[in-house]
Amino acid sequence: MKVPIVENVLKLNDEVAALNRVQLKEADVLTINLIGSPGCGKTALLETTLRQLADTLTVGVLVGDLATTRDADRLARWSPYVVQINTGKSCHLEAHQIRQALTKIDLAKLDILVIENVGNLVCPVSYDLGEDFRVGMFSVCEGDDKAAKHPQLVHAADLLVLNKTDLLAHVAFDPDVFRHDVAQLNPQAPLLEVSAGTDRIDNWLAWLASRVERSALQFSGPCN
Amino acid sequence: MHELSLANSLTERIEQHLPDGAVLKSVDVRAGAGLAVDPGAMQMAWRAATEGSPYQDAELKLICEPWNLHCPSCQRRWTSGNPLESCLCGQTHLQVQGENALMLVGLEIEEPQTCQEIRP
Repeated sequence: MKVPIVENVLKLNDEVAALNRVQLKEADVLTINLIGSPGCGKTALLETTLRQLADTLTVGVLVGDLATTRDADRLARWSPYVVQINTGKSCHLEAHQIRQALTKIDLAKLDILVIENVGNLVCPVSYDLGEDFRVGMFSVCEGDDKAAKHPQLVHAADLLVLNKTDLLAHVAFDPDVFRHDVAQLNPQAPLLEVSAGTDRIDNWLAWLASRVERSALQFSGPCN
Repeated sequence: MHELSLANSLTERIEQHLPDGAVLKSVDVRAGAGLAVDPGAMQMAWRAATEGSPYQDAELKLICEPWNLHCPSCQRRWTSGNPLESCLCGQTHLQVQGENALMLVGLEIEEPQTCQEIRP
């Protein structure tokens, strides 16, 4: 006998993600899910971001790793609002892990919360965490074919970041190939080319600030 | 390997829909192109997730959907496993769509046997 059903297998994850989203919206915190391969510079981007925004915006970070607190320790030098999530053997973060981590951070103090996902270009794409924006990150050291090789992330991202552009002269990376692939897979998503290691992230900071401002305007109402 | 997490979530959904006493024969699942599910890994994950459970002999029937491509120049629409194909008309910037979801579509079950009381 056939039993027809049409249901998302990740229904439970999505329900928890929806709860996260409500909690973050009520706290007026812009939330970003940062997805990228190990070594592309996610933590370096966040270190530079925290340092440069220290006098402007309050940023918190939930850091996902299989093991260690090294990334959280690096970021904690620049922000008191950092929580490490150790997944053990899991290659991605799920909504229930974020829900638990949110109990350890004072959202009332934050303008922005970045979820630094486990280093992985594939698995995190499947899991809604309750974010406002999903950011896909690559670096020039990985090869100009990586957008084409990971179409699911590029297609799902609201923003793409290409890091380590200071090293372009030293690697076999054709930016036009990468830009073409990104544009084809996701013409709506902006592509920001940055160098976190040399503090060249003005375009990323401007994007963050514009999203925070847009969020504040939405909450301010017609009389303000 | 997120296929194992997906397989575990799938068993949870099945438990919500399987009638009491019924035996699961197979489960139909559809993976969107945007999900990055490997069919071989998903089968392996299903076996791992159901080992020792009432579902261990059930077959996982997985359909992996292709990308939907649309050419803005000639309006041609087609499906492909490669989202970076060019159109036959030469256009390289296509509109690409693919669902980012794993959908439980249906179950095939063997209903529980009912005992008929034999009256003398």
